[in-house]
Amino acid sequence: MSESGFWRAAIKDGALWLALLALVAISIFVAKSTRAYGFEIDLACAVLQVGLIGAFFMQLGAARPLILLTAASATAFLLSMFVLSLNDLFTRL
Amino acid sequence: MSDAETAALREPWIRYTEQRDVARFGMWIFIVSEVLFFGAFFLAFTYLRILHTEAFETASSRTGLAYGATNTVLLLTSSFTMSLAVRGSALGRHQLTTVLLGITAALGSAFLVVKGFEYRDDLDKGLWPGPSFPIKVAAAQLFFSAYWIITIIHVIHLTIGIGVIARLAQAIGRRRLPLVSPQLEIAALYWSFVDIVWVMLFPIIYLGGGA
Repeated sequence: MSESGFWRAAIKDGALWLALLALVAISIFVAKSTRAYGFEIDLACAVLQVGLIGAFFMQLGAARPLILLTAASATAFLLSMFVLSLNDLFTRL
Repeated sequence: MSDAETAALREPWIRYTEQRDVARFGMWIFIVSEVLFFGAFFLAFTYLRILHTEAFETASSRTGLAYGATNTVLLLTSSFTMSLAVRGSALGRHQLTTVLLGITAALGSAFLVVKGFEYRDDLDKGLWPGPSFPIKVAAAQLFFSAYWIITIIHVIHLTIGIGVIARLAQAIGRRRLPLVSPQLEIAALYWSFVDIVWVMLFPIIYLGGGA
């Protein structure tokens, strides 16, 4: 990697860091200022942060197909576990 | 293979690119297993929150938001410095990489210090499930049971990460580990995962209390 390549990458990482801090600030503001769907908005902000960290800091976006397949399978399993469990819960409420 | 890659090559690998790819894949498999591990906790928490929404909101409002927010900033910044360390290693800069790894470990340690103060505060307020629990709503104890379990497990993961990063910083600083070694990259993956877990924990523990 060249020196200029390093600084370009560092600036991108810095912009991502600022975006993540902004999402944290938004989460706190939303949590403290609204009752309706505040928690859900905060969770959405958290999921967005997870996606950004995964895609850029962990470079999942540029990962080999096998790693993408592994991560996607785990995510699908996790989501199905959540959906099926919550579906079971709501049938009992 | 370059001289640096030859120096980083370990048995049984005969090609550096294979070693690096397998190391990355191995860490992703481990991360996936940990995602499922923490996912089960998050699922249980979500299940309980839906069953006892008001109790969980009451309990969440008693957590220390200032501590949680500070720790979130510390961990996000440490992920940033860890990412810069990986970039520095690609540039071949030993000192820059060592310094950035040191800063990452220091930020992680600062998280532990803040967490320690928060735990002390929580214990002073009696927020430990048991007969003398101060919130007289039954399910609030469930919230704090989950809080203690999941945050302590996260702290254990973080402490292991700090140890790994500190060891890497020392090895790279003393030039005992080549910069192209896959160890740095997989340590960065692990550290970002620990950050991701906290990013999900922060809203469910500290921001679930409502306006």
